[in-house]
Amino acid sequence: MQVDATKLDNIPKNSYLVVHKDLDSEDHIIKKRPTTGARVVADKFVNDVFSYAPKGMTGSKNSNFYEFLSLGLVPNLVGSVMLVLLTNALNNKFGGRDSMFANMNGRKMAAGVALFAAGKWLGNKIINKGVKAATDIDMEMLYKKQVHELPDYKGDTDTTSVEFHRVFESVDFPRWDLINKQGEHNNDRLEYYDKMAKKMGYTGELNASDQVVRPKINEVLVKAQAAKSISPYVWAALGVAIAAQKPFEEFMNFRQKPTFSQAVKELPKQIATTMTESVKSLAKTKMGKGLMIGAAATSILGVWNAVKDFKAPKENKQSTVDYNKQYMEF
Amino acid sequence: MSINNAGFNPQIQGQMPINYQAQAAMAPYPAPFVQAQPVIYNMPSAQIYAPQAQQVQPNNQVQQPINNVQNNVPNIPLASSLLKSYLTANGKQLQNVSSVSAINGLNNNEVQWKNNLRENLRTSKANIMAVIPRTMNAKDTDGNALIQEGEVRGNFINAVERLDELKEMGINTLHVLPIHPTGKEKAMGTAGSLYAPSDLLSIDPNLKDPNFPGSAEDQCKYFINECHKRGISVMLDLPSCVSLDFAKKHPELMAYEKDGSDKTPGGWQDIRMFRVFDNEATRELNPHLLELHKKYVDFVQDLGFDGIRADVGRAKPAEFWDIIIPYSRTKDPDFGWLAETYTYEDASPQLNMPHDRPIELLKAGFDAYYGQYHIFDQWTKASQLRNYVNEQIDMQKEFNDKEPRTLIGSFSTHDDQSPMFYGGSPWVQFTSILQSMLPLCNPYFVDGVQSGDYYLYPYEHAYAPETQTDTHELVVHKGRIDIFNPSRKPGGNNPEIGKQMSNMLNLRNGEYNDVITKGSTCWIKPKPDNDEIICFARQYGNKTLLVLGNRNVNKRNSAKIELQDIAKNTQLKDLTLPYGEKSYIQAEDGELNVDLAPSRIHVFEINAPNIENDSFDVSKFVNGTYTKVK
Amino acid sequence: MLNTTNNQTNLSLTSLDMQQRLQDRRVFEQFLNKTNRVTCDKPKGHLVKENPAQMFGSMFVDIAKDTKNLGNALLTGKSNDHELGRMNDLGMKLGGGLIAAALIGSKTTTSKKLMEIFGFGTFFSVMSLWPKVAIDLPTKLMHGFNPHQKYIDSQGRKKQFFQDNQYLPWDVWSKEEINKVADKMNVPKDLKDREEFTKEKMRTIALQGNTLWMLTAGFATPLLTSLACNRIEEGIRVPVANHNLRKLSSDAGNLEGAVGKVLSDTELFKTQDEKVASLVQSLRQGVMPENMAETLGEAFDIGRYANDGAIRMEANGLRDAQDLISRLFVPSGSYDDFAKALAGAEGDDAVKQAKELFEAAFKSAKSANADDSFESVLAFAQGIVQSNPEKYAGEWVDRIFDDIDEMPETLKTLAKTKAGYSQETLSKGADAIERVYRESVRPAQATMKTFGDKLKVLDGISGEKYNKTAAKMVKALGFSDKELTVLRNSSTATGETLTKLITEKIAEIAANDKKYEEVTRSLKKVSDSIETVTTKEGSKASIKGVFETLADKVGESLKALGIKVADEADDVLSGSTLKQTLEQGLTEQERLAAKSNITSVDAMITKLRSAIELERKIGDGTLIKDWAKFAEEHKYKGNIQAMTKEEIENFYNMCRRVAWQSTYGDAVNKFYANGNSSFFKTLSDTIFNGTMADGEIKDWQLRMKDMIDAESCIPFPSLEESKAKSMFYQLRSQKYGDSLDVVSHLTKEQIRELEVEAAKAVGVSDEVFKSHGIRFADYGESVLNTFKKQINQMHNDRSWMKVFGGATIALLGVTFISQLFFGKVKDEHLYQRKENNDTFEGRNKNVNK
Repeated sequence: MQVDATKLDNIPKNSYLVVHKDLDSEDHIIKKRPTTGARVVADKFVNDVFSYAPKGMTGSKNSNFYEFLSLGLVPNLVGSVMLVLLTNALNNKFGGRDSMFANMNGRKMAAGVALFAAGKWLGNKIINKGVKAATDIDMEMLYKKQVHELPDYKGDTDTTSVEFHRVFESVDFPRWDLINKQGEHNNDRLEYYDKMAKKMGYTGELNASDQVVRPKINEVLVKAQAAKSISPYVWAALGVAIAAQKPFEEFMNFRQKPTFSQAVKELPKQIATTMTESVKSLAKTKMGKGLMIGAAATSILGVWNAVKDFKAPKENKQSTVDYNKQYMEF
Repeated sequence: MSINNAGFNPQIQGQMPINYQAQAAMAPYPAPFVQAQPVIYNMPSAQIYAPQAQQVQPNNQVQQPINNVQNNVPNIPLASSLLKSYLTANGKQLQNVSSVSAINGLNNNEVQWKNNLRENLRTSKANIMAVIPRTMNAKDTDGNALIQEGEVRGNFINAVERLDELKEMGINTLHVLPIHPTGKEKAMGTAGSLYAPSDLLSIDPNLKDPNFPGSAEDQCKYFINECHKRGISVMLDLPSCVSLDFAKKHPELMAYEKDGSDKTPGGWQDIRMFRVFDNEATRELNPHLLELHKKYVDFVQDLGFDGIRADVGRAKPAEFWDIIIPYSRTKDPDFGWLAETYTYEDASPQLNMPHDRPIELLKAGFDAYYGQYHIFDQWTKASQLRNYVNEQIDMQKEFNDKEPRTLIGSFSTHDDQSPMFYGGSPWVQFTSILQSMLPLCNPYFVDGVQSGDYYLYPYEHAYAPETQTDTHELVVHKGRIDIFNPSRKPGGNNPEIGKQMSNMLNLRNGEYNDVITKGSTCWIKPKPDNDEIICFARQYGNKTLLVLGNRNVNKRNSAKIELQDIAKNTQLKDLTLPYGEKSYIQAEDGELNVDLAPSRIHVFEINAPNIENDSFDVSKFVNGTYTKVK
Repeated sequence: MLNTTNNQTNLSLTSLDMQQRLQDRRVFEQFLNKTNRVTCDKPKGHLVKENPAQMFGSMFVDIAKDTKNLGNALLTGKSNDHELGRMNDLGMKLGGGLIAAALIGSKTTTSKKLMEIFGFGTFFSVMSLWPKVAIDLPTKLMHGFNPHQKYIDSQGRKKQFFQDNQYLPWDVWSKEEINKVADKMNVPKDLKDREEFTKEKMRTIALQGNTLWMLTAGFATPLLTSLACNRIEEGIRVPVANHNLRKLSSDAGNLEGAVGKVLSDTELFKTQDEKVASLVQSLRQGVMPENMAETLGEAFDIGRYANDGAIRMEANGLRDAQDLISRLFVPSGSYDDFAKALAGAEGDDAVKQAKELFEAAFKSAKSANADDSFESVLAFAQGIVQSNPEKYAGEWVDRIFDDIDEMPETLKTLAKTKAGYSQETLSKGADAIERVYRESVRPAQATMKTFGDKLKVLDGISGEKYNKTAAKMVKALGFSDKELTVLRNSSTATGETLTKLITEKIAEIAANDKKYEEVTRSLKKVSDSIETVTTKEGSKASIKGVFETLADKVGESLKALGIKVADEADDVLSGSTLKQTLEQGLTEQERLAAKSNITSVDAMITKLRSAIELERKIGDGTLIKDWAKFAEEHKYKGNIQAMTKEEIENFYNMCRRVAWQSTYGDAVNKFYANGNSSFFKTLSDTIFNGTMADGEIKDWQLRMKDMIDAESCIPFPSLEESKAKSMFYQLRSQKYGDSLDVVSHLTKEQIRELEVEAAKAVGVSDEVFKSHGIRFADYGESVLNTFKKQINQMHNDRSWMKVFGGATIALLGVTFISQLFFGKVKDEHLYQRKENNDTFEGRNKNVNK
């Protein structure tokens, strides 16, 4: 943030012009609004196509691991679209009954892909929200990162770029410094840790709440992350199983094409009934029951396991010193 | 300068070394090299460069048996190096008389100094304090923490005023941060970063006290002399990178990308890197760089320094140091070397920076290194501390010259945030006592810690009217000692920390020196096993010191310590000064019942000949090497 | 202190200084050229060297390790980013497995179930193989190193070396390895910083490879998976069918196991068991339930569970039930209960009198050989009372004249149920029903259900084989792609062009002897290979063979279930129709009905071969000659030779339509002489001079059959059947009109009635109608329809393959070609040769040497 030189001239020689530094030019935690999640994914995808992929393909020194991970978004999206295309693109060319059957199969695949993604998203969300509710640890806390790159060519001045990360995405290096900085910004460095310590059940004033809270948060993160490597995929499988049920198939294929206004009114209701019916029909099968119980179990157990130890250890007051005998005090 | 900060440790990171705080924490580099005409650094026809002071030969110098080149030059007793250099200054004009006598006055009681820094470091006898000459004794009269018009910056002369205070605290070694002129172009802060020097072979003129005779070099020598008088060795910080001003003048030293653009470490803008190799494949070093560092050693030894602290030791390979360090010891066999290097790294998370391999540097001649104590706040268990100490002990086997390599108590360095942030005065006293008692460890403090300085500066990112660089912004790294601007003298308002430090350091310097620097280390398991209680003993001969600490900074911990030699109601005397809440100890036959207050640590001298049987993990010096015996 | 200012010593200082400098220089140079330099330690990490087999093996080791880490992470909360990343891959594979398992449940045929597993397996193997084949292999060949090279880091963890472009622990590569790669990349040997350049080139290539992998994986995995699955599914269809056939043929012999399983399925018989049980219980309590006949009728329907009626059973549950009831429940004339209820209020003698009255009435009904139901006995009783009114006094007497329904409830039920039946009869009957139901009816139903299920599988097998044969048939005729597309489009537009194209093709084959031999031989081969399959024991098993054994076995087991008659001549059951139904096993009719479900593959091939035969005869003119000779023999009036060319062509087309388009229905209606006047107009005019007598029609029909069906395996409708059929249609349109709605909703009885009437009108037995459904199965689909469906399928497959096969080839092309441009190092030209001096032009301009 530049200050115009003229202003400087008339400051007395033995004082200085205090300026409140805006955080934007360095890594800092950003507030999560409902749209932030979507905005970050969109930002990542746009960067994937226009910045990370070209950098990768030209072998630039500045292409880092974060960019490689966010490029992982491309095969997921493209893969899903391809799966739907493969089973729908040519159907109308088959003609007659073949088209009808092919379309039915195609729509089932589309439903499967959609519910896979929805299931996976839901599986993740449940654990995140569960951990947040039980421990106040927000695993989706976002921060904006200023990346300082090497100049690509002689005289290249554009050497900074922005990335969106989650504070707790890494269990080896959670960005405690940003949490401290946010505290310092509100003139209480241990603000976050004190709040967490209270949540853990510490009542009295702690000398250094961060030394107690950090290992505990790390433990919760590892357990939650481990659960999240399994549970979302069970939910995803449940989603696909629901999409394969008869009621869902009928919903996808045989309801008459409503006009737009009609659709908007009825669609939610229709989807709701279809889902309940599909779930009921799935519940009849052994496999269906298994998946439902499995999904619920992995979520509940996942969250329970992660948060069960998130509490202050019992204060074992009893001391090995027998105070009614002689003892020394230091 | 180091590239990690509290909480971030590149060495043990997993596969995803996302460049975290590395850039923000990296302290910038010293100022450029101010020299009127372009100096030619061509190795073969080395032009004599003035003013090259003559090194004062300490009288009982141990002969260095390098095929006895040393003998054929007559060893003429010279009256005083300061005088001689003054005479030959600036191409031999004669200075006017008055300045001569002033200099004479300065050195009237020439001290008979024997540099023993190398031995101190190796035998962990060095109690080190890091100081920044330009702020060490600055006089901030108006209290706005910045030295401006009418106020006096720190310099060599007023720095001397604090030497007695440091000596009295038990400090016997100073790590002097870089004293060279700072770079002006794209600089950080109004005084320029200490680690972006514009010239490595001269001293920042600002450090010269105007109303005192002699050049900056003379005053520096005076300062060092005063330190030596007080038995304090002095180590100078050798920056690993340089400023843009320096880089522009010495292209043959600098590292460039293939397209000729400057090579920067991890995208930092205000510093430039040296080109270490002519041909990395054949490990052929850049002769110009070697030449510069030779000159640097001459320059530093000529000023009277006792050793060098190599900033970012990894920036140059072991082969490089394997030339410079032995060379420095031909002239002063006890010249000490401390390397800023942390732990084994497969690769560096920072672009253009080589990986960190401490053992290679120690093999090349360094006496001590930084190690991992800077992440001690993340080790919430005593076993984590013990494992690291043992790791350091195991490492001793790597060196077949039977010379120990030690650590420094890098619990906080000038690159880390002030230790006060981790638990205030009790935490700093806890770490000060602990590092004074650990084996193979030289206690290390940054100036200001002794009085609890949070290193918070009101002028953070403010705009100052005067500046010596190309920026008016007072750049600050939150919570770290200011190395960019002419800031106030370091200090806080917790004097009790200083008292504790001097208590412990004088303990080390006094009767318990052998126990702590040569004694065995016996770890004792509390019953019931409580991994938050740190309990070990140091024993040498018939003297035994028992160390009992509660690693938990928030909660009391209590346990039974079984020691055969303890009798019921034996009276214990705590060698540490009390702080925080009270701890209670009860002596029974063969055991001590302890109830330790949060972050309290105690040291008792006890009579315990069979302490080793009570311990489950013992290590001691066995014919010269510190090894694990149990 | 010695004041050395301005005295002798300082003059010589400069020379002293010079000497000191030289000495420093000499000492320094000693170190410069020191040989025993400190060398860098060997790195703790190292490259992983694995051949493909080891790579495959270590994959499982890694999965095991990841699972252990997952357990540890969940329990202790101790882990690191690397391990957590790998656990995520584990989760993905688990998810994939669950999806496959979930979808298997919803799939019916075994081949579809198998496809789920193949699909899951292919998806994940393609996902891991794609980078290895499409990127690693070409890079290895072109540049001599593997971009997905793995290494073990200093903490002992296995990682991808090039995964993070900014974290490359180069020292795990030895000098030799780097130089070997440099040679492969033919980096000039004399390049000054050859190793640095090579590493930079490797880093660039690996980064480009990783990015390309990310950009292409999204396309490659689905495409390659679906192509692979497409081919796999095609491949496993027949083998799975054969496998099922072998399994069927081996356990066709012993049904006990399967039947036992069905019997134990309580869910299936639940409602029926309950109904029978309640019936038996009420009988035992002395109450004969009203709708006993219907309940038992339903329960005794042997084919009830046989695959929702797929097998039309002649056995009639209702008839058997009514017969059994009539046998079991013979009124014994005991009316004590009824008498007591009727006259009980008026004292014992009244009861005794009533009892005698009814017994007398029963006896007189018996002697008058009248129905011994309560109603008739009551009528007789009323008669007796009227004949001597005075004997019977008392209120109860008036009540017997009320209508049964008006009687008080207790009386009414007693009248309806127990009157005339002794409790003993009721209980005995109940026991018999229970025994028959448990020992005979239920097992029979289970047997029929097993038979139905197995038929379904057999039908699936024949379906698969049918499609395969049709495909082979069309291929045997050798239609080119272009022809196929034309055929495909024409088949939707107009029928004629399709026939013309097919007939031209057939004519072309027929005309060319070599091709004709070749096609007939391949068609022969097709039919042989399809029908039969060799079982494990080496014996041959064909669909028909399996069906026959299955049907026989079912018949036998039904017979074995025949009602066991107790030895004390308990003739009540021995004569029952139920016993007959069981003992007759499967009637011929039922057998044929079951068989009709299995589409016959032979018929289709035979029809095609006979169509070719026909074309051949048309081609070489023998058809017209034969026909002329035949007409002469039968002294038909017309002169074939005199037929105009156009008429002959018309005749040929008629024959072709019979050979090509005729379904069984057509054969009965359209192509039968008097059933289709317009068709035969020309034929009868030219050959039969306008009118055709029955005899001539019969001759013509036989002649046409010989001409078309050389192998005479196509059942051709008999004359009577054709006549009866057309009469049936006439009567139907008279009675119900022709609107499709009405006609298609006639009940079985109404149709049966029409059939009988039509047969009577034509003077043939109505049996002729029964064969209708059965023949269709053997006659099969018309050649034209089979062609149309098959061509459609082939065209769809080809167009799908063309688009997505093409896309895959394009993808492979893009992936490989783009790799040719990999490896361009930034500022490559600035790495200079060793021979010119080592100064770097850009840097030392201002240094004067």
